[in-house]
Amino acid sequence: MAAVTARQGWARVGGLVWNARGAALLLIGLLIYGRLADPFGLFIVASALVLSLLALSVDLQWGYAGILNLGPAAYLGLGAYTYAITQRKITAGSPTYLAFALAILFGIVLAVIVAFPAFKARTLPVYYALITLAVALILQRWTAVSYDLTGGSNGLVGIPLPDFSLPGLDLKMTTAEQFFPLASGVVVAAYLACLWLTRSRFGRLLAAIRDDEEKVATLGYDVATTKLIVAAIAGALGALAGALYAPLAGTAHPSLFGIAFSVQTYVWVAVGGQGTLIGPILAAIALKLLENRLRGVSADGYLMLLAAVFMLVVIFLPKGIAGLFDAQAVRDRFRRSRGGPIALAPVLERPLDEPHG
Amino acid sequence: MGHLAMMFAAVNTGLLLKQLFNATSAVSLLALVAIGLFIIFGMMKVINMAHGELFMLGAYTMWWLLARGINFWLNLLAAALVVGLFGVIVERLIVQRLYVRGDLSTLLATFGLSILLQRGVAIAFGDRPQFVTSPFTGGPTLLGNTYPTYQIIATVLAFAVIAAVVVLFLKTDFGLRARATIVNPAMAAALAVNTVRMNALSFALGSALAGFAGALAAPLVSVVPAMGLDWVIRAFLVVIVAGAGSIWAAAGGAAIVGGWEAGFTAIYDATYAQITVLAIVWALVLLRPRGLFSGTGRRWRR
Repeated sequence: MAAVTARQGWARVGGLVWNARGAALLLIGLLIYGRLADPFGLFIVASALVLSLLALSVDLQWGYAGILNLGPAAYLGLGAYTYAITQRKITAGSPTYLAFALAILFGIVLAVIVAFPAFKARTLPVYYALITLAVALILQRWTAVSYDLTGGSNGLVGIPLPDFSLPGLDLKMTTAEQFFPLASGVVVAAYLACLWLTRSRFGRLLAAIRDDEEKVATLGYDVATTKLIVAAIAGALGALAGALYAPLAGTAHPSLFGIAFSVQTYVWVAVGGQGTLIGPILAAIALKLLENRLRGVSADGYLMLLAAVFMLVVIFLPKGIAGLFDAQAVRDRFRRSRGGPIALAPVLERPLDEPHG
Repeated sequence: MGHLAMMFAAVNTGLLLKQLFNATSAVSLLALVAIGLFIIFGMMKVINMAHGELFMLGAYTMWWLLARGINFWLNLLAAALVVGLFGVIVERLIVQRLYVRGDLSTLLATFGLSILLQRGVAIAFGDRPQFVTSPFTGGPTLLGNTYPTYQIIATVLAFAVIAAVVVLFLKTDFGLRARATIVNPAMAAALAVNTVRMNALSFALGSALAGFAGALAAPLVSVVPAMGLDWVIRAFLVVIVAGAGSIWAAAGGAAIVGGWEAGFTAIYDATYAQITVLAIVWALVLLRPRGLFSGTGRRWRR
């Protein structure tokens, strides 16, 4: 981008403030809810908020960069266990800064290890999706058998609440209700950070990669490194979600790595609309409250319902349910329906008749 | 002393032979699952995440029919047929709609389908393992180890079906059209190959193979709703390590993935076997991003 005039510059700042209106509304809504709800409601919404960080990480990858990480729960579990083990074995009774820092660090490291071969060697995009799924599954297995470190299939219990005390300043969390404002603050901050990221030059590069990777590479951009950075940011977000979820739930269990969390995250993003950031957060809160009503009936039934909704959304509403209400998305759909992603498709749909004999 | 050494040698040879047999058996089943995935992936460039659940449905079909007193060998065919038909429905309702989009929607939709099927079966039959009794008990003994008759027959049968699929692809008119569609769909369509029907048929064939493999494996594994996940991941590792370059790649990839896993499990531990196989496959991706046996895709032409 060459010379940005002052007017364009202000327009961008104005645009960013306008785009941030969602964060303001979300914050106001959460503040009101925090005043009205009972402790259990606060717990449910707090866990929805924490897990919506995972949805943000998926939205960044899938919605903005077109990268499919089918095992986001790997980062949830990693963050949770890192927090739990650090707080037990290294900094027991002390502030939880190190636990959070290590969780985020490990999230980034795992993301880079998993993503590096996929993006540097320029494999098919499906390979990354499959490997991320496999990584989550194998971490779940490994956690379940490593009794010494992780408590095995029993998991770890009695995970202490976060403690942000500084010398001379007591910020130790004592009740689970205090989690709600923390989760609200973190999610709004993460939302604003993602918003800023996606509206920046970097964000436009991501969108360009999503739409036509070859062209971006031809223009001289380092596609692999850009995707690697997104994966690393997503890994950090996912691990942060885990590090917050473990103390909120009070336990860390191998099921945190499980496919149910991954599917749930994808449903939230698909229903909220990928590439909207705020959509997945709202979907997380709404569906978590709904789940709380339905889950008593049948956990399997609820998961089936999620999977069915997910399939229907993918098939019929590529922009998510939120996309129905988004004028821009509707325009995009019409535009896209004229020139499909592969020009070959119409040829394949109407083949010539087979020869006789 | 010499006597003891000889005994040791005998035990080790026997054990080695037994492990080799187990590995071969695992590889044959894996190759059968992977080859279906290969055909679908090669043909439509579509990843069917529900492939493992098709395997699971095959195993459950076997269990359900066997519980109703129907002959084991008939059930093998029935499982292939039922799951193959199911594949036709999936292709019609989901895959055909999505694959023209040319993005990852098919993968996502079939991912949803896999969870739907897995939990649906869990609701219908419960999460507890179902046992499928093998039509044979016992088996020949060699160097102190018993080789179950059914495992021998299942291995031979799996290899026979793989051979039949290879012959189908390399020697028949259908195979010629299928390979033409894989190598260049637009050119195949221009040369009067009905590529839409080819896609549907290959999807049905791939599904039937998964169903057959599931039914065949049912007496050897525990039949649970989540059983497919392991197999689909293994089969995908085969695709990744081998590349979708030819029909032979499936067998080669299965030998690497299945062989390593079985060997490492025998020596050390199943979980670490999976971790190491994942690490190896992922490291190989750096060296050969398109797979070890990918070539240039020309091999489909022979």
